[in-house]
Formats: sequence, structure tokens, C-alpha cells
Amino acid sequence: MSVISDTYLKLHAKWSLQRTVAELLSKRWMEPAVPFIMMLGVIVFCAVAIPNYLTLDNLTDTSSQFAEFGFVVLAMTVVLVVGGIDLSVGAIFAMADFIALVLFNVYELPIGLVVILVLLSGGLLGAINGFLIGYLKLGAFLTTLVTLIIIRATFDLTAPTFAIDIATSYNESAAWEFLGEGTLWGIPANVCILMVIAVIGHALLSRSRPGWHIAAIGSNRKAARHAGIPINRTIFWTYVLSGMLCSLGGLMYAARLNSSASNTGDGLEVMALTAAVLGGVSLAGGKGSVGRALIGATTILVLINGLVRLGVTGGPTFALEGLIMLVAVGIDVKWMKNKNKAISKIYVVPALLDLGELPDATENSDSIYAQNDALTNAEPIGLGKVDGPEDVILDRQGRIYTGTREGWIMRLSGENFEDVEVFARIGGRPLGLAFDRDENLLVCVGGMGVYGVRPDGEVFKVTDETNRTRWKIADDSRLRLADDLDIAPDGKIYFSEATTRYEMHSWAMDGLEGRGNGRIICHDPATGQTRTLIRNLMFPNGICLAHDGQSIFFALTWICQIKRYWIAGPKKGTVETVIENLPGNPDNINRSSDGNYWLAMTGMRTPAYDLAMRMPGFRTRMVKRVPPDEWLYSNINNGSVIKFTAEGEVLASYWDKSAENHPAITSMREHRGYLYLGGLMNNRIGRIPLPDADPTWDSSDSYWGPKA
Amino acid sequence: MKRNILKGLAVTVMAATVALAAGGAIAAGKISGKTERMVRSDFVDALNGKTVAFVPISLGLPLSDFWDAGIRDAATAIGMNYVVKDPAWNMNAMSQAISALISEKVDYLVVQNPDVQVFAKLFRKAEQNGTHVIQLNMASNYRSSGFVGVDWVSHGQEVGDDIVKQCAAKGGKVAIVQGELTAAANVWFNVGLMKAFKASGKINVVNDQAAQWDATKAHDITAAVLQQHPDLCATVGVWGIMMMGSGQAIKEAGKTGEVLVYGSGSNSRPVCDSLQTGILDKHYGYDSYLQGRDVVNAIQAMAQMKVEPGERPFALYTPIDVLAKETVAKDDCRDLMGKK
Amino acid sequence: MAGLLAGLLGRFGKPSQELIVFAIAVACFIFFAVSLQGFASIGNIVAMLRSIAILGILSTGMAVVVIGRGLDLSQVSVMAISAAWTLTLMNGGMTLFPAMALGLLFALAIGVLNGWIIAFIEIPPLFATLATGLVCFGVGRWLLIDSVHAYPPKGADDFLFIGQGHLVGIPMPIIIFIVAAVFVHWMLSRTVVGRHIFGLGDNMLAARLMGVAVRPLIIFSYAFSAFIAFIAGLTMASSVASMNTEVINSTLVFDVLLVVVLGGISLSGGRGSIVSVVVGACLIGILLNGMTILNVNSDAQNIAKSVVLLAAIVIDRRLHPKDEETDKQGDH
Repeated sequence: MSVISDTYLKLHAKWSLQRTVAELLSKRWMEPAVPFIMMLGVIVFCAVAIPNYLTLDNLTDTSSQFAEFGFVVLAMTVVLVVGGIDLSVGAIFAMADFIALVLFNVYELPIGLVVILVLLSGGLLGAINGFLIGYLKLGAFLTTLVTLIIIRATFDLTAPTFAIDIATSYNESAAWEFLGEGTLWGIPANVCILMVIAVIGHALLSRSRPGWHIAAIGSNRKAARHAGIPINRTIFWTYVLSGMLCSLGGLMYAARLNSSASNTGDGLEVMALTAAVLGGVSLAGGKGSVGRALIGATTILVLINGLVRLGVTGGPTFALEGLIMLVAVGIDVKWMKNKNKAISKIYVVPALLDLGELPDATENSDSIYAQNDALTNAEPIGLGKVDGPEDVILDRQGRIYTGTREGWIMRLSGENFEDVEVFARIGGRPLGLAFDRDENLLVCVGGMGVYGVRPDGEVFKVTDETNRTRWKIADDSRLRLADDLDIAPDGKIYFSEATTRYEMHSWAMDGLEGRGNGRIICHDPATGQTRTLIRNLMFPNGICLAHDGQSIFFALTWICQIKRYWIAGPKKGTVETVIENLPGNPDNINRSSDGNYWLAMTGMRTPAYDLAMRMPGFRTRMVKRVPPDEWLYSNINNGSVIKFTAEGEVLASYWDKSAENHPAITSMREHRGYLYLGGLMNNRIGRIPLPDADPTWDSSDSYWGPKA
Repeated sequence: MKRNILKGLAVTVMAATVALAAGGAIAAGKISGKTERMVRSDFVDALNGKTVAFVPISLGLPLSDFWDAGIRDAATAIGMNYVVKDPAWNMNAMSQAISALISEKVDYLVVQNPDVQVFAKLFRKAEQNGTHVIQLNMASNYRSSGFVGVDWVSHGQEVGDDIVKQCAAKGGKVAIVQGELTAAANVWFNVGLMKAFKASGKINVVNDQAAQWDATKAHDITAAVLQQHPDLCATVGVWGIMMMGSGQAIKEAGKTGEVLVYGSGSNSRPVCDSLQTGILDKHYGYDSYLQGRDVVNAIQAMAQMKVEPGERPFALYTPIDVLAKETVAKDDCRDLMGKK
Repeated sequence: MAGLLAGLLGRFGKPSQELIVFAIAVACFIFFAVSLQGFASIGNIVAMLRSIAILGILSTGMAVVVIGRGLDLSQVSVMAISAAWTLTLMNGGMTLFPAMALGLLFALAIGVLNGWIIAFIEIPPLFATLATGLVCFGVGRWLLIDSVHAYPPKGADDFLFIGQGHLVGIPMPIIIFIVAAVFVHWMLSRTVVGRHIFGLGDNMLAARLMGVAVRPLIIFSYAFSAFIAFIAGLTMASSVASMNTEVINSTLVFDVLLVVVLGGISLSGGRGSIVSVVVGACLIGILLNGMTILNVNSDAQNIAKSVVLLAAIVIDRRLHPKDEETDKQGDH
């Protein structure tokens, strides 16, 4: 390999554009980013193409028309989010405009009363839609189409009787004038009102129970119904809300133009629909926000205004409106359908990982790693009663604790550990375990963080977040996959987070990347602070405090290394490598009674996989072209346990060559002359006697001294 | 075409007369103190670089296309800038176009109102901003600098009087095919019609459905009415193109010539064709190209008299040209405009 | 006739929607015939049929699309622009048939575009056709025709025959409506394509699994609707000797939907027949004709029409209730 391509591959292992894009795409705020850029584009286009576009006069003028339209788009958005559609927005708008003028100009009611009555009438018209669609379960499209015709016809019937009265009577009111033409700090008053309503609406839609109900019904009506959400009632009120928003728009229009014409609000429904979709509100329901609605509204208003001002005549305007609608909805449909596919295609970003020559582990060889049957006949404990004991630990009373797939902590006691009970129910996926000075059991829970269980079984949270990495797109402050932990004499909890890019169920994909996605984190219970110590580690897994309490050992699974991090003494803060080029993927590390350390290997390396790790291009193609269940993953069918010294010398290895009882070994714990084995996918805990070990040694004593 | 030129001359003279009368003594005094050359320089100063903007309801109709051409030809001939915006029936776009023109401070704004009310407030703002607003053919409630167009009530009355003359003796049954109920032209035309009908007392309006400016609807309405009233004497509506549908229904019923079809509007080629084939019997029309010229003439007068916007409102009513089936000639109508 | 009656009666003797609408139509007819002089005359009935002919022709095309679980809101726009372009071409000196062929080609192009967008891009038909309708109208007004109205050239008598002629004393529009209805009925009930359209509307996935070429079928149904729209456009333009493209701003397309839904063709697809369309069209014709004679204001007519449609869809929902377990709220 040439130097250049080598350098490139190493750089690629650290930084990747593809990863940046994938992380960007999975951001929720990226969804309205495209509409937002489109909006900016339209504004810049108008500013360049139309002379004097950016003058204060013109901006005030354009934005004063924005408020009315903005309300209507909001009205359309809320019903789209609930999974419906409202074609009667234009008609309700016109009706509200008319009612406002009649009440204000003809009956000369005070303005407060006018506002209330107009809102009521809008709500009432919306209620008709809501009743038909929510309670009678009619299709939203046809229903609102019919109400559109009925409301408009009623308007056309009644309007002429008042037309002359409205036109000739002129009611003076400063408040009315202000509503229509006033400004606050240079911003038109109606825009200010829109902004206030928008903020309230945003809170309602995204931060309140009714808002969640609306989105839930829109995204999955059946699931919402099964969850006990009152579907009919929620839909009804959504249409009432829509009607009221439209009537507010109508009110603004009345105040601004003081006129009601037979074609007021004509075609508004198509414009509002286009705007909402353009802003990224999904037609399929469940997805949409106030911000997106306003982005869409701005784009459409500026665009149509711009076309009119550029003197583009009728025909092209229609064609353009239709085309924009097609493109916007087309992107929406295709994007919704393929987004996750696209992200998953580019999310896994393999990098170069050269592990070095594979150490010999064949049976009967001279190698220290030579396979044997030491674990094959391990005594099974809790067979069939513990599902996936990733880590095991024993307390001073000799009871076994282990976490299971159900998210429980099981306690096994009795002479032969026949009493199996659920000690605590935490949830998530309990992984590494450790006792603290007060005999609280601390647990790393995949998907949740670090939790603790008091001796009486009460669960408490230790920490579930750390400081966010600066300049990183993906928010990594939440703990995704806390893996193993150990506790220093001063009470500080050191724990590993294996990866920040994958979840518990997809951790194996992280191996395909061959990148440093994990980190070592420290939580100080004294201050309650959690801080990341080391970043960009390749699946940091087991953690073990050295016997002298000056450093921690940690295992890096994919790169097959053991490293050591000094937490005290002269080398404090430095990292050194203890073992390189292990024959398998290291998992948990624990102390042994003779002053050395146990290491579990979850699986053994294979030549094929090693080769694949040296060929990132191959893995990239595999990830893109082959379905996930057919991917080449690292082997986890055959594991072992080794013992090593603090200096990195490997002393012994223990195997279950048959790979029947203990195929993948994720942890082991020495306790009073026995070695207890755990496995992430296993259905048992195993135990083998250690004839040469100190039969009185137990790890609680080793950490915290004999019990007082 | 000769007839058109004569008509044009007549209108120009009339416009000038009205404008001068409106200008009154002050203006007259100033002009009389100057030489011909100074008048000429007044003229140039007043119009040089000024802009006239036109906003119809929609282009693409004979009526508005003729206006467009009329204003454009006359305005550019005297060195004015001309801008036209086509909202294509979209009231929102129309309101935006007018607002934009106001904030651009164009000098003269010519608008065809869709409705008596809708832009009244904008017009007031425009005139406060120094823009002269001239309303074309369809007026609004706001009395702006000027109005150029048909005097709809008297126009309706004129048509009504003729219907009375024709039908009073023949049972007097008349069907009115309305355009759109709230459109100004439609409302005032009908007021004029009813004035004439009431005055005679012999006319019975058997139907006054609105066809929404649609010939097909006019056709269906007329067909239904004919079944009910075979002795119908006449149908009448404010727009000739729409009334062609009504005439078609009468032709199908085999009553061409028995039931008279009255229309009104711009004298464009299809109208003359329909008159010749007997679909229409009488058309009370006007030349909208010349209305466009009237607008520019009025602007010239206003500019030279330096009146402030809305200071001296005036109206120029368009003369009506009656075309009948028996007398229609090729010159009476303008050919449709193709794509420019 | 027996088959028709059985269809009207529905399978288990429960009255089908067609039958209910038919009964209402008969009741209205009797009511108007008794109360309005001249209503029941042959002349008026012919005028009535003639007035619903265009609506009826369009409805046969819409019916095909709706049975296939679609919606074609671009129909009126296609009708107006294709017919107006034909007229414009004729005014430019082209003879009738080449002009008609080009107009037809344009209509089919929009129809195929509709189908392609719906079948391949999978945009919901409602929005796809709403947008293509705008595009069709915009492009037409911009590039194809000179003004809002198009008129046939003088002396185009062969063209005028389509809308104004008579065959055995019956006005041509009625004949065209009958031919279209019979043809579509035959196609839907007797041909493989027709049966497949029912399958498509009933359960698209099942139809696909059965081996029906679903996407080409969708394209076909929209192209057919556009074809029918072109025929309706010619009839309309010919019968009043002009084509007003502003017709797209009217409620015509909703009237078409009204007729289709009224007779019992469910918007959820797979159900109904052309008999429904004929029955629905008759009811609307009777109502509109009666109200016009009574000189009911057009706005009030719209309200009456809408209330009838609303009643029809409420009944439809009662007869075919939603299955909460399978229905999606997003289904418009």
C-alpha cells in the first residue's frame, strides 16, 4: 500500500464526509432545513431580480399580507398533522372577514366583542367539519369540499344584503386601525399577533398532551386508538382549532382591507396546501410543526408576490404553482418512504483497521492461546432461568447477581444457586456490574446509562448523560451503550460506553466500521458530575481497577487490545498499551486472587474477518448491496478466558473448544476458589473450580477490605 | 375601420373637453398666458418618464386585451412608461400587485375593479401616496381621481327601453341571465334594466339566474326557461360572450328570431360573428381599445393641469354602439388579438 | 333489465345506494311534474338530459378512475385546454381531424402523466391531479391558446354537429353520453381490463400478487379519463360554439364527483357501476332543472346540491363503515 493511500485511509478512519452526512440526515432539525434553504433561495432571488425589493416600505407591505396567509397555513397544518385535510379554509376565511365587517361596521360592536364573535363563528364552522369527519368518520377531502361549497354559497347569498351597508358605514376605532395598519417596533401589528399565536401553537403542538394526541393520531390512527387516545374527540377539536385560526386570518384581512368581496379567499386552500407541504408538513399526517408551516407560507407568499411583481402573466404562474406542488409532494412522498433506507445505507461507514498477524490458537500448539477443554464441563448455574447473563458478580454472602435480557437483575442463592429471584427490575439491557463501598450494586444499562440497586432492591439512577462533544453533529450527551464499570477507592465511577453511534440491538454493526466510536467516562458521586475522559476508542468494553487503585485497565474489543489509564500517581492522565494483537475480541476484565487479571474474549478473530477489516471498500459495498442479515460480522461463536499480568504477559487460557456450553464468553468473576462465567447470549452461568486460587478471596474484600 | 377612427376622434375631443372643464379657470388662465412652445414644453415636462400601470382582473379576454393594447399604444406614443400586471383572476395576486405598485409609487394606476369594495382602502392609500388612481369600466365605492367606462345604469336602462319597445306587445316575458351577482357591472346594469321595466309596467321577468359568466350555464338556464315559457320574448345579459350560450339554446329550440337575445360588452369579432349567424340579435357594445386611449387622454390632461390625486374626480363615460343583426358590418368589431 | 333490477336491489335485499338515489330521483321527478307546469313535457325532459350530458360524459371517465381507487381533479382542466387547443388549431387553418388528433394527444399526454406520477412516484391522486390540472391549464394558457375563450372558425359545421346536431331526433350530446355510458359499462363488466380495475380498487396489493400489472393499469385509467375529458370538451365547445377555459374555476369537477359518489361508487374504490353514474346524473339533472324553473338562486342550488351529496356520503359511510383496524387516518 502506498504511503498516500495509507494516509488517506487513516484520515478516513478519523474523519468521514459520509458519516457527517448520515448524522446530519438523522437530525430532526434537518427535515425543515431543505424547505428553509428553499425559502432563503426564493427571497434572495426576489431581492436580486426585483429592484427596491429590500426597501422598508416594501417589506412592511409584503409582511402585512403575510399574517393573514400565515394563519390559514397554520389552520391547514394542524389538520394535516392529525391526518386530515381542510379544503374549506378559504371559505371560512371569507366568512370570518364578512362577519367581522358586519359586526364592526354595520352593528358597530366594540372591537373585543367582534374578535370573540368572529373566533366563535370560525370555531363553529370548524366544528361542522369536525363533527362530520371526527364523529361520522367521513373522508376529510370530500367533506371539506362540500362544506367549502356550502359555506361559500351561504356567503354569496348573505353578502349582497350587507354589501352596501359595509361599504357605506364607516366605524372609526383606533384599535381596529392598529390591527390593520399599525406597527410595533416597525413590524406590522398583525405579524406580531401571528408570532404570538405561533409561539403558543408551537407549545401546544409539540409540548402538550393534546398536541401529542394530534400527532399520534396522524401518524398511526390504529396505534393511537389502542393507546386509548380519544380519536373522535381529538379530530373534532382539531378542526375547531383550524376553523378558529382561519377566522383570525379573516379578521386580519377585514382590518387591513376593510372589504368583503365575492372572491375573497378564493383558491386560498390550494395555496395553503402547497405552502404547508412545501414547508415539510407531511400529507400522510403526523409530521408537521408551526415553524415548517411558516417557512412554507413565507416561500409561497414571496414567490407569488415576486412573480406578480416581475410581471409574469397568468399561464406560467399556474404552471409553476402546479410544478412546485408536484415537486414538493413528490420529494415528500419519496423522502418519507426511503429516508430510513437511505440513512441505513450510508450510516455504516467502514474504515481501515489493520490488526496485525493473527496469533496462533490451534489445539496442541505451543501457543499460550492453544485451545483446550477447560471450560467445557463448567457446572451450569440457573440453567434456563437466566437469559443472557452478560456480567456476573457475587456479594459477600456468596449470592450471584446478573443482568438479563428482560432488563432484570436476577439474584441466585442457595447451596447450588437453585433459588432464582428477580432482585430488581430496571429495564434496558443490564451489562457490567460492580459493588460500591456501601454494597449498592451499580449496573451499566445498555440504552439507559448507569443505575444502582440498593441492598433492599430499590433502583436509583447514577447518571445517564455526560458532557457533549463539541463540534460533533450527533448529540452524544445521552449515554447509549454504557458497557462496564469499576469504582475507584475515592468512589469515582469509571465506565465505558462502547459506542455512541449504535444501539444495544445493533452493536455488532459498530464492528463493521472499525472506528473509534466509544469512550471512557467518569462519574463522581461527590459532585454528581459526569465527564468524558477519553474519546474515539474502538469499542471500549471491560473496565477494571488495578489492584493498587492507581490505574484502570480497559479492553478495546474491535482492535483487540488492552490499555491502561492512570488515574493517580506520577503517570496520571496518560494511556499506555498493555496487550496488543489478542487472538480474539476482548470483553470484561476482572481481578484475580493472585494479583493478576482475568479477561473474557467474546469471540475469536478469523483470517477472513481480519482481511475484511483491512478492506474498508469491500465492507462499504457489502453494507450497501447486501441485506443486513447476510453481512459478514465478527465471530462470536467461540470465546475464551485468559489471565494476564499488569505488565501484559498472558499466563493461561481457558477454552470451551466444543463451543456448546460457553460459546461466547463476555465475563468471568473469581470468587472463593471458583471462576464464574457469563455470556451475553447464553442461557446459564458457568462455574469451574480454580484449584490453585486462594479459596477465601472475594472481590468485595479486594476492593473495599473485609467487612467491618 | 373608418368608423372607428371617427369614434376615436369624438372620444378624444370629449375627453379633452371634460378634462378642461374639470380643470376650470385656474388652468385655463395659466395656459392662455403662454406661447404654443411653452404649452409643448409643459406637455413634455408633465409626462416625461412618468409611469402608468394597468391591473385588469385577467388578461386573455378580448375586453382586457383591447384595454391593454389601447393604453400601451397611447402611453408609449407620448413617451410614458407602461406596466401591466396579470393576476389571472386571483384576487390575492391582484391585491399584491396593487400594493406593490403603490409602494413603488407609480404615477398613474389604472384598475379594473372586480367588486365595488375590495380595493377601496388600497386606493385611498395610493392617492395619499401621490398615485393617481383611474378606475376602468368597473368602479368601486372609493371615488378616486377618475373613472373611465360605461355608465352602467343608463346603459342598462337603454337596453331595457329597447326590450320594452320590442316585447311590450308580445306578452312581455323576459329572462335575465345574470353574470355574477355581486359584480358591480352586473348589479348596476340590472338596476338600469329594472328601472326601464318598472317604468313600462308591461314586462314580466320570468327568470334571473346567474350563469357565473359561463356560456354553458347560460345555455342550460335558457333551455330550462324556454320549456317553461315557450312564449318568452327576450333574454338579456350583461356580457355578449355569455349570452351566446343563451342564443344557442334558443337556436336549438328553433326559436331564433322569435326570442330576442340581447348582449352587451366589448365589440369583438365573435360578437359580430354571432350577430351574423343570428345567435345574438342585438349587442350594446363599446370599443375597449378606445377606452384604453381615453384613459391615457385623461392622464395627459391631469398631468398638465398638475392636479393632486383625487383632487378633482371626474368620469368619462364611454359611448355605446348598438349593433343589430340586420345592420352589422365587418368593421363594427375588432379582431381578437393573438399572442404578442 | 333483470340484471339491472338485481343490481339495484343489492344482494341481500338490503337497498343499495343506487336504489335509494333512484327512488329519490323518481320522487323528485313526480313532485316537480305535479307542481311545475311543463316539467314533464318531452321537450323539457330532452332539455334536461341535454343539460346533464356533459356532466354525465365526464362522470363515466371519473367513474373508471374512482373505481380503481383514484381521483382525477385535472379532468376539467384537460377538457378545457384540449378542446380549446383544437379550436385554436382550427382557427390557424388546420382541418378538423388533424386538429382533433393533436388535441386528443395532448389530453392523453396529461392523462399518462397523471397515471405515471400516481403509479410510480406514488403521490396521492388527489394532489397529483390537482397539480397536473394547474400545470395543464397553465401551459395551455401560456403556450397553446391565445385567450380565455376559444371559438370555432366560421363554417366549421362538421365540428358544430358534434354538439348541435341531432341523430334520429335526439340531440348529439345525449347520444354521446349514452354511447360513453354503454361503452364504459361494457368495458368495466365484460373485459379483463375492466375486471382488473375493480380488483385494483378493491385491494391493490392483492391485485398485484395475482399478477395484475397494477402500474400500467393505473396509467390506463387516468389516460382513459383524459380521453373522456377530451370528448366532453369537444361536445361542450361545439354545443355553445365556444370554449371558456375559465370553466376550471367553476364547481364542475365537484359536480362530476357528486354524480359519481351519489350513485354509490365508493371513493375507497372497487365498488359501483355505470348504472350508478346514470342514476346520479339523473337526480342532479332533475334537481337542477326543477330549481332553475323555480328560479332558485344559483347559490341556493349549490347548497341544495351539496346537502344532497353530504347525505349521500353519510349514507355511504353508514352502509360501508370504516374498519378501524385497517383504515388509516391519512387516507383522504
